[in-house]
Amino acid sequence: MPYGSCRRPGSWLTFRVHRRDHHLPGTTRRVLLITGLAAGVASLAGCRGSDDTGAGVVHPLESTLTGTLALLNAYDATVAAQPDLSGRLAPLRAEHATHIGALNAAMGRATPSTAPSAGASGSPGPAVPAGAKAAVAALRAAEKTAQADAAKTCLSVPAQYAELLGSIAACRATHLEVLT
Amino acid sequence: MTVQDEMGAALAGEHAAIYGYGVIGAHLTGNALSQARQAEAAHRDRRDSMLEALASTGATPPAAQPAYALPFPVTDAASAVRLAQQIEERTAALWRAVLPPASATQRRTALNALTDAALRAARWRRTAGTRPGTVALPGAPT
Repeated sequence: MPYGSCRRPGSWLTFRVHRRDHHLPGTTRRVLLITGLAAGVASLAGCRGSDDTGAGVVHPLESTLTGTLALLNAYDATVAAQPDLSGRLAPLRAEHATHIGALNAAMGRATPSTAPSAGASGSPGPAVPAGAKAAVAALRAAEKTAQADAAKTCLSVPAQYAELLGSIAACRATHLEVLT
Repeated sequence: MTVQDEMGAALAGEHAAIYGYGVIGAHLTGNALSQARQAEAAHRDRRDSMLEALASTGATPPAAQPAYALPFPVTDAASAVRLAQQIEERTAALWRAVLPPASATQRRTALNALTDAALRAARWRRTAGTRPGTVALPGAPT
């Protein structure tokens, strides 16, 4: 869980312990105080960077990000199994990669510089049906499910994410037409 | 901008789209003409349902202008298709802006309108010869 590190208030506890060390010489106490403060600030900055909504709370964009990564994996697996489809699928795959970047940015996270691909996550890519036609049909089915998911999420997310989710849902609808 | 402002802007955009398709249709034939007629009918439907929705809230909906300035002269099929694409991109942007301030029901309407405009924009890009004609973030500023 990416939020695990933010939930741990270790830096602040360390800081309090330092304050109780009254027997220490003044200079040492100040150094410890400053160190404790710096650690606390760094910890806060880390939490803010991930746009955390609270301990144990799943970010409203988390499931969309997971679904988009799965779609990207499906495209990669399909192109790996059917290289002839590469030209047709590459522009669509690139748009999903753009969504991943936009979702990460909206969540205050960095996107890995190398886009994830089939197998990169340590798990094998999804099974691809034999034959170009069946492979495209399987991708279309995945897009259709993902489109419905994005549309549903768009209707429930906080206002600041509604435009991004709306555009992602609309984009997936256009992919369905292209994959027909 | 309040949701009333954004809805008003979207309605004004629908008025302009209907006018634009009148100009576009005069330069198209065959499949492209049917595509333009379907698009115009969709914009008319959207305008009518918005007028009803806005009237029920007591708001004064923006009226259609007698004529609209075109972003460039439409003189042939190519420029007509280009205008159709721009109209849909603009419509998508207007409806996308309705999403954040919208109520649950309004958000559904806005999402449907954004999606429909994105589909039509992609079709017009393909009509113009661009494949696949999709964009990553329909309605988003580029």
